[in-house]
Amino acid sequence: MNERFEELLPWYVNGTLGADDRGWVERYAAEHPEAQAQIDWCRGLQAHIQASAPQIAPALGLDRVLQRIRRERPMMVQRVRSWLGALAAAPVAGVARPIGAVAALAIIVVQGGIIYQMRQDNSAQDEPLLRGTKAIRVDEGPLLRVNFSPDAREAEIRMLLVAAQATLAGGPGQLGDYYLRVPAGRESAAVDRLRREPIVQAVELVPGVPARY
Amino acid sequence: MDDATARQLLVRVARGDEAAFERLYRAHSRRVYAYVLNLLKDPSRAEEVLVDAMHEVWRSAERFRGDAKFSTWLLGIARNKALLAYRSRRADEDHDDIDDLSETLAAEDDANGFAQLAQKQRREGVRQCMGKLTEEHRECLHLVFFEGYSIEDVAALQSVPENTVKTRLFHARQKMRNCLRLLLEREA
Repeated sequence: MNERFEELLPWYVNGTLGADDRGWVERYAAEHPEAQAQIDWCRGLQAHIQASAPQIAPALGLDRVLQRIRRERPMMVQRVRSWLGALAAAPVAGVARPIGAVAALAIIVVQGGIIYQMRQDNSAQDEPLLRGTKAIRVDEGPLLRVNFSPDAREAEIRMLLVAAQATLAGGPGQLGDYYLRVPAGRESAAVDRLRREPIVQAVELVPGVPARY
Repeated sequence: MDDATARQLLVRVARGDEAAFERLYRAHSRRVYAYVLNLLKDPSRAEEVLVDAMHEVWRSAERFRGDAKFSTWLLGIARNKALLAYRSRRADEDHDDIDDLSETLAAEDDANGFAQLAQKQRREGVRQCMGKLTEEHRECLHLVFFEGYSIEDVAALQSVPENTVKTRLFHARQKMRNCLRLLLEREA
C-alpha cells in the first residue's frame, strides 16, 4: 500500500485532514479499490470505538469532588475570619475616639487562593475574584456607619469592603452597626458603591466611632 | 459543549463558582472516564482518576492558559492522573501483547480481505482487541477515533513527535486488523 496513503488514512477518517490531503486521498482511493476498502474498514473501526465508549451517569463522582472542594474551603474561611476578628477587636472600652485620633490601622491583605467567591448565583455581574497579593492600608479618613441585611454572608461583606476600598474600624455593635473607614476623598464614591449593594440596608457618614455601640 | 462555553465556565470556576464547575463536570465526565478507562482497563480505578482529575481542574482553573482547547487541557490532566494510577498497579496486572500476532499472520491488503473484516467485525471483538494493545497504541486509537484529535493534538497530549504518533497508529491498526481477523477465523 502507498506510504502516503497509510500515513493520511486515520486523519482522513477522523476528519482532521486539510483540503489538499483530503483531495489526494479521495483521488487515490478512486483509483485503488483496496485503498477504499481500507477506508471503509477504518470507518467501521472508528464507529465501533465510539459506540463502545462506556455509558456513565454525567454526575458519576461529582459528589465526591464537591465534598473535597467543600472540605478545603472551611480552613480558608476560618483563617480569614480570625484575621478579620483581630482587625475588628475594639480598642480600650469607654474611651471616646475622635476622627483622626483613631489609630484604625487596618490592613486587609488579600492573598491569592485564600478568598473564594461564596456566591453561587450565575449572574454575569459576579464580582471578579481577587487573586494575587494586595494590601490596603487606611490609617485615617472618613468614617461610614453601615448596616447590613441579616442574611448577608461574611464573604459578601468581605468582598464589598475590598470593592469599596473600606476597612473595618469597628463593629458589629448591638444594633448591627459596622464602622468602615475609607480613604480621604473617597467617601462619596464609597457611599455610592455601598448603597448599590442589596446586602446594605443603610450607610451614612459619621463623625466617629461611638464609645459604646 | 463547545470549547468557547467550556472556557467561559472555567473562568467562573477559577472564581470559585460551584455551579459552573458542576456544569463543566457533567458535560465532560463521560469523555474523561472513557479516556481513562481505555488506559487503565479498570472501572473503579477509572472512576477514582475521574474524581482526581476533575478536582485538579477545580484547583488549577486559573492556570489554564488558553493556548489549547479546554478538552485537550482536561485530558492532559486526566492523563497525568492515570499514569500515576497505572504506575501503582500490581506487577501481575499485565496486558496481553499481540506483538506475536503481527508476525504470524500474513498481511492481506487486498480489497476483499478488508471488506470482509469491515462487514463482520463486531463491537465486542473491537473492544477485546483494543484491550490487547499496549497502552500507547490503545491511547492513540482512542484519541484519533473517539476524540477526533488532529495529529498535532495527539502528539502534544502524548508528549511525542508527530512521527511517533504516525508509527504508533500504523502498528496499532495492523495489530487490530490481525486480532480481529483471528477472532473471525475462530468464530468461523
